[in-house]
Amino acid sequence: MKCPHCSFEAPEKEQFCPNCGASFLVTESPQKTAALSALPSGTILNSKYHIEAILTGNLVNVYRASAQGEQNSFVIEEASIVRKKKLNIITRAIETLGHIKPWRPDAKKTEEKVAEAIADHFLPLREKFELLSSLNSSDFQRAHEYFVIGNTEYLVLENQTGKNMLDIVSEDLLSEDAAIDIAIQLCQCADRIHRAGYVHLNIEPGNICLLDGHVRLFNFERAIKLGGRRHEHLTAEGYSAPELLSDNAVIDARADIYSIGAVLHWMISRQNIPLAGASILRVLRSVSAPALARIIMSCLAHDPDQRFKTAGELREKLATYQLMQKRNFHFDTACLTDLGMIRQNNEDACLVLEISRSTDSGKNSYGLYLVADGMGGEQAGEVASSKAVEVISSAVLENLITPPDKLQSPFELVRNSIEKANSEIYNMARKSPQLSTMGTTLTLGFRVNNELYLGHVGDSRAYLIRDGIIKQLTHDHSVVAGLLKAGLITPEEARQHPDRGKIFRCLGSSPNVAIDTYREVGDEEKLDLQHGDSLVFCTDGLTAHVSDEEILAEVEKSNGACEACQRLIWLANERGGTDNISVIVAKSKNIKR
Amino acid sequence: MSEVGLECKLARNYTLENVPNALAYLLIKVIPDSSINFGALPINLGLVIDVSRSMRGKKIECARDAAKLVVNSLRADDYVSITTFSDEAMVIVPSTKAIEKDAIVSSLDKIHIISGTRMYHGMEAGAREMHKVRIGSTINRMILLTDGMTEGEDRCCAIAGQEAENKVAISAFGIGDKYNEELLIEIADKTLGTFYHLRAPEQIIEQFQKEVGLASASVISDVTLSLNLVKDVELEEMYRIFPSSVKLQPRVEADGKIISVEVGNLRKDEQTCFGAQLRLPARPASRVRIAQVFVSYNIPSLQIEDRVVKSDVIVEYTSARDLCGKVDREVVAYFNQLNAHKLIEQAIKETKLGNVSAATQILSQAQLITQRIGNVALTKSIEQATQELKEKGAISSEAVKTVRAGSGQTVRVEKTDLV
Repeated sequence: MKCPHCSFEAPEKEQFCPNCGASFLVTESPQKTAALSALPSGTILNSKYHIEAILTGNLVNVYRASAQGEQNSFVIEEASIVRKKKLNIITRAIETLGHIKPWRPDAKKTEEKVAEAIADHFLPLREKFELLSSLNSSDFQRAHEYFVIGNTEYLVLENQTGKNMLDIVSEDLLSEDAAIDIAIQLCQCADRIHRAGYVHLNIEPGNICLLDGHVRLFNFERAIKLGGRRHEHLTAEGYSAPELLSDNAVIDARADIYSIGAVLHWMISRQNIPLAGASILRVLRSVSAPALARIIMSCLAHDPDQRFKTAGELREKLATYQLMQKRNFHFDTACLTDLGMIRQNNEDACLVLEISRSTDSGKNSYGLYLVADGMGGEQAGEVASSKAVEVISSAVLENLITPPDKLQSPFELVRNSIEKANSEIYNMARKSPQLSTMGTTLTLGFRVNNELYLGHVGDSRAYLIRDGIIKQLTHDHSVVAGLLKAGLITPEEARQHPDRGKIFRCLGSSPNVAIDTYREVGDEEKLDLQHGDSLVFCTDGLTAHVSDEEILAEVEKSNGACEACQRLIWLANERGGTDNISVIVAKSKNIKR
Repeated sequence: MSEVGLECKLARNYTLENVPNALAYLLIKVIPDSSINFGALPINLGLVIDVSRSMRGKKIECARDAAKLVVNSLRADDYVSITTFSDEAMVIVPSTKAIEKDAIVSSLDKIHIISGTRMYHGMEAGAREMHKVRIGSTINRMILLTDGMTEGEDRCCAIAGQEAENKVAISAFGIGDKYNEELLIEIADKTLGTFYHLRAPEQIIEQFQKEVGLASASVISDVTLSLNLVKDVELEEMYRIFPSSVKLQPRVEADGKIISVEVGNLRKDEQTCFGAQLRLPARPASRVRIAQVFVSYNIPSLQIEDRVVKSDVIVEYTSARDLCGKVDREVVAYFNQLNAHKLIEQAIKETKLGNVSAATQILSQAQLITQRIGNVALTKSIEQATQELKEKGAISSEAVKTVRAGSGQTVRVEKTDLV
């Protein structure tokens, strides 16, 4: 006898292939194992649904079906409404499932007992229809229709749409951030189910789909009412809470919380939680931070009392963790200024500060990036630019050690410190005839964790480099920029233009100054930085010779911020170095997440 | 009808079709037929007793009394030898039939305390005595008692390895909190014996008698467990789970298909459970015999030799997720006892590294498992260890030994407990 599976030649008497173990008996089709006789393919059900195939057959038959005029296919579940004549069929089916409790068909109230036994395995179809209809959201499998034909009930459900989590993770591990996003959405789904008075009990990768980044939860057959008990012990290896194996335990929302923790761990590590439960070491090794390991371990506690109490609580914890991670930025920063090839003195000033501060409420990181290009002849230019840097950096540092209740918002701090610098320079100029014409440009970036606040006057610049694209974050307050904006000259012509140094706004020329912030380019007070972003601040000594695309290329090919500054200054000098050149580069370090 | 029944159960009878590397937990129960009178086998008992200075006083007195009681409980066809060790080994009673018990008992009074602990001398001399009289159909059990650290731990392990080959099971008894329980566990595991931790000298008397009682019931001898795995099914780990847990070291037979392990003698009055963790290949929906389990044994008292019982292990690959969700809780309960054991070892490791909160959390998981299974003694000792950990940030050597010994002693899972 030849094995149909592996072609091994087996002796005639064998029931199983000695090589691969395949059964030589004809495998029973789902139709044969079904409790109900299954509908053949091609049947038109309820004058609408065309049965294509039976997927599984047991207490509930499941079909794949289509309907005329509908693009998507359906899943139709079919179950017998308990009647005495159906009793034997159902009894047999229960026996095949190996119901643990002895059950006698001749006992009193037989019908109720049968109904209970079915409910032990499945959420009854009508109840499932009502639950899914009440949830009525694209987060969940849609229930289209429920109907009864004779003694048989039918529930028409949406077929799984979107990409299954099993497929997603088998292709590539998710980033921790993406996995947490999914877990947060799962918490929202679970929370809604719990609010509807049910526990899903089957949250595992095979029942989760992603559609355009949106989580969808399927397969509610194991759902039970909150606080219920189930006599059959149906579990998903690696995802089900341990209390599901216990008779005495009352099942509540915390069983779903266990599953969400297990799914999150699996998405990050591709490892299931073993029978023994999760070990803190194993979880610690698979995540990037102990705080996340603690959250996962709290989900996976054997004792439900040690888990989060609600899905909402877990969602909050995950969202806070995610926020903290987003805020947790590490920058490689450098600052360099150069005389250039023509000038005799350097009127530029620049400064970089990177500060970390850990308090009870968490860790914060700050960055201060300042470039100023002074003007006014003799030594006046550098006085103005140095003064601007001095006043602003003092104001910012002072604010960092101010008690929280007196703290200025970063946005206000940027504006106020620039105004203060302007008035000090203006007053100095008024008092001293040698300094009377002095002034300075100023471009300031103040980073609080992942938020960047900008303050800008003049024609120094700030750039953002993200995903291989460079974007200027400031508008030049110069004559040439006006011509360029009006389309009267090209960027190349602007760099060669005889009036390119003429600016119409600077610090120190009048008692009040109009300050640009990020609002001028982004409609918001701040720019949200992302991991991998780079920032460049520079005076016009650089931009007179180096185009935006060249800045991008030099920054991207450099090993670190310091090398990027050196390359840019070298390039500007090579092309003439007609002015002082100051550059700050801040590169966000990519953290493995 | 065979004298020994074989029951093989999987934690899940159904597995999802076309999913590679699915884990399968296989429980193998070897159950002696309770209606059969198995008779008795002579015991070849070797007592090997530490007489180093730390044993002075109550400990050595109790050991002497325990030995006397054990000798008196032996039958005339049993063999006994008594060896003591300190710096050197001394054979107090050379291997002899337990006929003239008074003479044997009186020689126990010759036991004297001498300084030093070189356990390997005792083990070697004790084993030599046992080999002298060993006949094919005896139950060979060495009872080893010590209270301190020994020199030459590697040599002790090597002797245990040899004795495993010679089919001598060593039951290692540690008393007090100064000995190295890891060494005693290794010796016991290697020879398929048992490790006992004794808190007080008085326990020696009770535990020695219990051990000899258990040994005399082990009449099903030379038991070999073999698994014939079909193509692409892999064995990951194999254990004896009940009555005590030991990780087994199976070997692959020459044809590469059959995996066997000798599991020593089995008791006539109690079932013995083994566990195998298997990896299954992806298959389409079908019924597959993933393994055949064979148990071969001798029962010399019934003149039975090389009897073999076998059982098929069948898995149904299916697309029905509801079927795959169903678990056999008896199987899970047995495997969970192994897990409790692993968790305890992990918690001890964490404690040594100073990770108190991690250790506490792991112990609480282990405690929940032992509670659910109904292992009262182990639950209590875990509770005590956790308490110490919380109060002092460490677990005392005494508590470590107690939980370790307790985690090796598994309990029988009654089906009725599960319903």
